[in-house]
Amino acid sequence: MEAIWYAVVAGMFAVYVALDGYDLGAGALHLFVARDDAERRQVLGAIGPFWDGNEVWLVAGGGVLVLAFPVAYAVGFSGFYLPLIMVLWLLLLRGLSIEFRSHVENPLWRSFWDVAFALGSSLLAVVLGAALGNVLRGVPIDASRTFSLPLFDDLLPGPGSGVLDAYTVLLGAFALVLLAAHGGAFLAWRTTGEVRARSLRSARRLYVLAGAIFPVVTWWTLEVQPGLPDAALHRPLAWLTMAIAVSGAAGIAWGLSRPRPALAFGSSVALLLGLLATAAAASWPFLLRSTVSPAYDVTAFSAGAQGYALRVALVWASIGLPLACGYFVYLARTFRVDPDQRSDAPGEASRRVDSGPG
Amino acid sequence: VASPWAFWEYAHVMSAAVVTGSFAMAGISAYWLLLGQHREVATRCLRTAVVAASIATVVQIFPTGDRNGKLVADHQPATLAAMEGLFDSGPYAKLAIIGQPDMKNRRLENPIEVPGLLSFLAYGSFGSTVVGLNDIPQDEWPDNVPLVYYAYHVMVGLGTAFIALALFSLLQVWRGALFRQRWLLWLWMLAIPFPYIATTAGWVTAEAGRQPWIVHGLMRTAQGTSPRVGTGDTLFTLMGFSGLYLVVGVLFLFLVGREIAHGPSLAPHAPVEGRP
Repeated sequence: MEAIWYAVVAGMFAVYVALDGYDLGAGALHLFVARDDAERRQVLGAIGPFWDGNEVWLVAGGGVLVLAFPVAYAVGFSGFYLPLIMVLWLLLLRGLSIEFRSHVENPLWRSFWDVAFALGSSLLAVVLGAALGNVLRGVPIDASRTFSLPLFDDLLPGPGSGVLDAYTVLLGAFALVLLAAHGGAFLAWRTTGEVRARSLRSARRLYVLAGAIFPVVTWWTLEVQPGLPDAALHRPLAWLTMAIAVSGAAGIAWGLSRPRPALAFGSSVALLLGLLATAAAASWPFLLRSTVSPAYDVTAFSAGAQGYALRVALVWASIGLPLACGYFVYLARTFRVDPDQRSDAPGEASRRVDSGPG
Repeated sequence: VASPWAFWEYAHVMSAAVVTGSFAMAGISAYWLLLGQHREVATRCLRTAVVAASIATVVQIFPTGDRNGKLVADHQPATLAAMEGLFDSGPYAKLAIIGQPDMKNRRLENPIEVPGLLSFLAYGSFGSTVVGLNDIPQDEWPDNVPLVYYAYHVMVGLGTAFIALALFSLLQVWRGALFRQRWLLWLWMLAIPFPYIATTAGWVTAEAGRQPWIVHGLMRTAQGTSPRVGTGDTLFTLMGFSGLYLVVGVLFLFLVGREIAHGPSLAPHAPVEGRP
């Protein structure tokens, strides 16, 4: 039962990263791939119907975490109080940018929200990576079963380091590059003209860069958490997820060189899901490791809720999750791109189509 | 989720949202009518909004508000006593329409009260005994009794005024006289902010009223705080949220003001492509 819920929680966060990742990436890239107002509206239109739905996976992931592993939720959310509130602010800023931008035609107004959108999106990508870094590295949970962590210290990983140290910042940078590439692949798939061409170019470069950073990330992760490869190699599931990640990477290379952006984006989703699932499979059963002593580790067994609640929830989850997934498929099909009309794509069309870029 | 309270609280909040929406719609229409702008749209909107407001304001008090009140009476007697400013227990409990709670002398100053009505509303008969704050240990009172009292009275007072305004206007719509009565249009225009205030007051009533419990009767709010989050951190985030909401609030007023000045856009929305 613990294993099922561990997989559900990890899976939901991974799906969140793969889904919200592309609109975060699109936000991080849009200043570069979309130069004028019409092009930026094209970018916003491409993610318009999806971004808020994608973010619900984060909320739902948190909800499932509190349901299945209340101890991990309590320890993590009070320990990461400040960083999490800042994530909330960034999410707010980003949502406001998307919503407010279209209401006033003044170019300064639009530029302001464009930059806010890019900034919010980029920082969120960094934060997601740094968060993963913290989970992999562990936090100083002590005998009180709680921890508190400064935002940053001397930036050197090791005992006494803060939320941001060199390792977690590296993971943050890696996440930014990878998600920006992911967003580029998405935009190459769902936009037209210049935006599409620039997105394709950016995606190619960024994937190469991500590929160059990846060995460093892997090496450092193994330095920080030496037990991981052993655990991964002894678990057939981890082999499967690694295979998914590798085939995703191959699909990206293939899809970008043809170019077939839909294939590249789909493969990119597979790559992200594969990487995160590998990390989760290798980390099982740890939810939050203690850097103080293994005795204080928060594991799926020590943090679990009562069996009855989990059994009942499993029934509901098996009804609810397919519903949610079905809705996403429906949404994606409904707003499928029609190459002729893409310039006033749905995100903004529902608001103010009559007031063009002037 | 299956708690009966959840349903009534949800229904109460949702009908509050309809009240707010219909009042905003009616108020803006009234503003346009008073200025003589956009007559056709404004007339149609105002008529729709008055009908919606008539239904929603009534539903707000009965059954949803009434059921919530009875649930409070059954499950949180200390909260009920604080909401009503009731210190002495007894049958034929009076319903305070107006009055200022005097915490030191434990009484209501300058009260205007209806005898027996509180007993009737809470438990269905005038003779029912309602427990007052004097018979509840002080450490189980809501931490801020005057806050709960005023928030609740602001909510209920405004809600009652909303019903009067909506139903009277409905009568005038039926007689075909609403659009000639400028004073009534003035009232609607000036009423726009009040549903927001009433809703916020209702929220404060619920949240301040359930103190000192975070899980009623089981866990106090003071026991539910995160052990490792400092007050400096929470002050920082509180200020951050306040600033953010202030900015968003100003932008909201700015944008809504623009839209109102801009007037209704009669052009049909462009079809969203891809829709089946």
